[in-house]
Amino acid sequence: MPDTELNIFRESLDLLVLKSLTWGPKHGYGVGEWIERATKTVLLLDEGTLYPALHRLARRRLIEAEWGLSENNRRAKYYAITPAGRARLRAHAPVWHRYADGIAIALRAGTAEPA
Amino acid sequence: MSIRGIRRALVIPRLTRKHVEREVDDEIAFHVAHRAEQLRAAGMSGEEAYAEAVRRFGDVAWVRDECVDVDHGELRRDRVTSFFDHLRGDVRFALRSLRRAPGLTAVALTTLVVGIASVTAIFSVVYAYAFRPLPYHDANRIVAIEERRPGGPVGNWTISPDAAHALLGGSRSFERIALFQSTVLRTSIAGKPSQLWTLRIDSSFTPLFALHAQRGRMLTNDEIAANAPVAMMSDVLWRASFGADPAVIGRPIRLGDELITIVGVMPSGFRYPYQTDIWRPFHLADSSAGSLTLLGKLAPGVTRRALGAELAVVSRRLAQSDSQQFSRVTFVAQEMINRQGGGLPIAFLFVGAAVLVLLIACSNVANLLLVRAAERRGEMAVRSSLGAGRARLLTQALMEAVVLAAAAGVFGALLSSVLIRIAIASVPTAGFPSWLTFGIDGRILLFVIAIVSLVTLAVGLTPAREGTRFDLARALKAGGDAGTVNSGVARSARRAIVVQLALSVVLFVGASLLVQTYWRLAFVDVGYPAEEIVSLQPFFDPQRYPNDSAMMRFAAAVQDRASEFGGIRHSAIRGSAQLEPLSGAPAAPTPRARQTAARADLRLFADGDTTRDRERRLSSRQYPRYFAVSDEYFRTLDLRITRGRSLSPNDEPGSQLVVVLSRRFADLLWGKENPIGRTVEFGAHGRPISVVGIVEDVRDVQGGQAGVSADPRADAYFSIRQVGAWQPEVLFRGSKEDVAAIQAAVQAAARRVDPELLTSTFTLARSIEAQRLMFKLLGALLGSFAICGLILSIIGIYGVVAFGIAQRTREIGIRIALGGTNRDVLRLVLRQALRFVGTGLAVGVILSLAAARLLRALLFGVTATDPVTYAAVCIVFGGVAVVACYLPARRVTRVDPLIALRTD
Repeated sequence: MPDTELNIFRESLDLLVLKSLTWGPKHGYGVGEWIERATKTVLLLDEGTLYPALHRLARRRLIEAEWGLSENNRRAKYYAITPAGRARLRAHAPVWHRYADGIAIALRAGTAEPA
Repeated sequence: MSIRGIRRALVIPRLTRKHVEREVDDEIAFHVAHRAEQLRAAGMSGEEAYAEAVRRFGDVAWVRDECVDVDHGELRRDRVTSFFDHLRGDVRFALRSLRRAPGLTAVALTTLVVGIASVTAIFSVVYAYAFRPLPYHDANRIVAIEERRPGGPVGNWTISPDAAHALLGGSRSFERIALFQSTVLRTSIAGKPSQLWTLRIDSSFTPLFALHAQRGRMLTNDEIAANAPVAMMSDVLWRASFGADPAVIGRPIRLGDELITIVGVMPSGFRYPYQTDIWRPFHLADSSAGSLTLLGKLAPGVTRRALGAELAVVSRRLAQSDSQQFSRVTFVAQEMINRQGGGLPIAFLFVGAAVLVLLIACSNVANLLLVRAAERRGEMAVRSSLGAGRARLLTQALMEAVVLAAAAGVFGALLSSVLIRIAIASVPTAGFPSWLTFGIDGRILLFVIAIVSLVTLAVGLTPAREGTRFDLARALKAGGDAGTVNSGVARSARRAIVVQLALSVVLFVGASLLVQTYWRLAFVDVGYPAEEIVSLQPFFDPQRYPNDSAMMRFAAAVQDRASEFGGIRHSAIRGSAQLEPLSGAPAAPTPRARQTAARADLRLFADGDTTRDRERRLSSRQYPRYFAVSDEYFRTLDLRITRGRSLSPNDEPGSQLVVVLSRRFADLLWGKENPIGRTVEFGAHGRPISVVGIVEDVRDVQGGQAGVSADPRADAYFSIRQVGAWQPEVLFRGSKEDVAAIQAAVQAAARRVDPELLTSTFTLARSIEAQRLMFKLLGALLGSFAICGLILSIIGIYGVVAFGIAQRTREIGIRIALGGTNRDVLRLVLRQALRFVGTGLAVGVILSLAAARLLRALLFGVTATDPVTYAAVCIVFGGVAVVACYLPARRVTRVDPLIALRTD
């Protein structure tokens, strides 16, 4: 598989994570649940695969982590979006809309010559 | 920067990896616990819920490592360290995944260790013989100059005194030139008969080698100029003959007839060129003292090419000044040691065999990894969805091969040094040249590293490429399962098996041909009772035994004395026949030179015709032998006279010259015709010799660079009274039980006749046994290589067939569900498996036919295209391959269609 496609996948996961945090801090489990509900599909094959993405975003200062207490009083790591993260989401979301729309249109095209 | 950012910058660098790991663990634990709770709420039991939660989380260990790496990497953002972090992560990942499949890892590792160890061991030996730098000071700058004449000998490392003078005077290429003469001195030292390698050295020898005496001092220039009766001895001789007694130094000792003073002991290990024991002053006037060698140390900056040009000038100048002696003489600069041993072709043969084993091992391990890579495509797909680039995945996949090959390299190198040590312990090392060492040095380590790198690429590249080539969407949709038919992988694996089988067949054919050769050679019937015959071989020194009659007197006296011992039933004298000249003192001083001269001069004439062609026909590998023997010889060796008569006391010096020929010799000369009464001549000026009898053939094993053979010998026997016997030995026959006693009696008799003469007694069986042992060892070694190859191939075939069937469980299930019987399916699977086995065999046979041509010279009693061998190898490999296919294929008959169809 070409690297670009990997990057798209990875990028999309990053954006979804950022988006899920726009309504306030969540722990990893919460982020995963949100993505599943929001995309109405099993995007994450294994739940664990979300965590490296979270840690990578934290490392790039797009989100930050803090230990807190969960709903049922357990110690859990909460992630919150940073201003840099919000900026990135704002900047990249339109690109994604364009990209996704473009592909959708192309895939629905009925003739060899684009309309 | 936010306050948090500042705090992070301050706090996190203090965090250790342990901290990071604990935090990640906590985070994952929270997730799994949370999920389990949800599942419990949905009605699962506690244990079930937990297990399901873990399953849904996926590869916990991998996620944990990734997170830890990310967090920890934050502490050190340096690119280089991050590279090493990645590398460490990859190595850790590879180790873990290898640990998860212990069976596969063990098989792969063992396979590679065997391959690497055999290649390294064989390489070390060949390297030590042929390539290792010599252990002398500035050895790379020292050359020996050999003088060559058209048609003259090549590779004797000698030069004539006149040429040496010319070079001493007019050479600018050399910083220093040293001359020495070497001789083998058969004499007594400290009252014990010994064989001593002696070097007579000039005053440049010591500085050329930058030598310092271990004890005492070196020879001084004055001593050398005055040809003083002084000498130095080797550490070995000092220890063996004088018990390392320091009092010997400075005292005169008896060396044969002379009294010489030992002034010092050479550094231990210095015995240049081979096994020198004694160094004495050089004295050019004494030209009989042996062959002359010239060593030159190149001046700094002088190239070999410049030296060659100068040597050409010198030879031209010599030719002008003395055209009679020096026309067409050339000088050749060569390494200071003659490394050409007769064993080198065989050594390269073994290198070939070991490389084949390594190749087979590599293709096997590559297949194992390939199959695994295919099984793990899903896992790889998941990983790539997490942001690992293809390059990263490739590195990760390759890392398994790197780790395996590196481990195998370490163990292989260790194993090879153990193997070499065992091998050296099992052969007598006394005859090894002093410069030969077998330790592992930098170059051998480089070789191992090179081999490991090649092995890594060989076993890792295809699996890594195949394993990371996938359709992400499909791989993920299929549930991360690699059950999808993997035709690309199966094809690569089959191709590798074909190659592997072909290589194994080549190895097996080659080994079978050679093992058959060695078997024949090891168990050849020599034609006489070798274990009942004791030989006494004297090493005559030319001072006291200048001609054959002196030698004969000694032999006859020993025969006389020894026959007083009751156990001896027959005894005889045998020497090489002095056919030409038939009278007069021998010109050549050494027996070896004498023999070659005799061989070159001999021309055989039968019935007045020249039979040079017939002589050539005798054998391209064997020269006819010409013996002078006493009358009892045939009785002593228990050889029957099949026609005519034996040698008799009536064959006197003045009467008609007679000869008894071996049956082989007569057959070659006259075929079926009656040879008795015919005449032969040896040499143009020889007298006619009449053939009076034919005796049974003897065989013995002839091995050399030209090849090996144990054909019956073409032998001619002359009477010792009519033809002189050079270097006679005395043979005694008794019963097998008495052999030890006979040896002792014979030795005692020889000592009584001449206490100073070095002699050696042994049964004729001993030398045959030594040869047998060598052939058995060679055969066993080659055989074990071939068997390694066979076993590896079995493992390979089994693995590939098993994988193919696992891949097609579903298809097989459908066939069975549609009414196919187990037998049908089994036949189908076997037919497909046997197709690639057949291809491998066919390719292997073709390659073998090509490769066996190279072996032709090394074979005896079997041709390089021996159909029986080829057929047998095909049957063995075919049979083994069928079993290796059948065992895993049988599994298809146990496929339950219901389960098979549910596999996804």
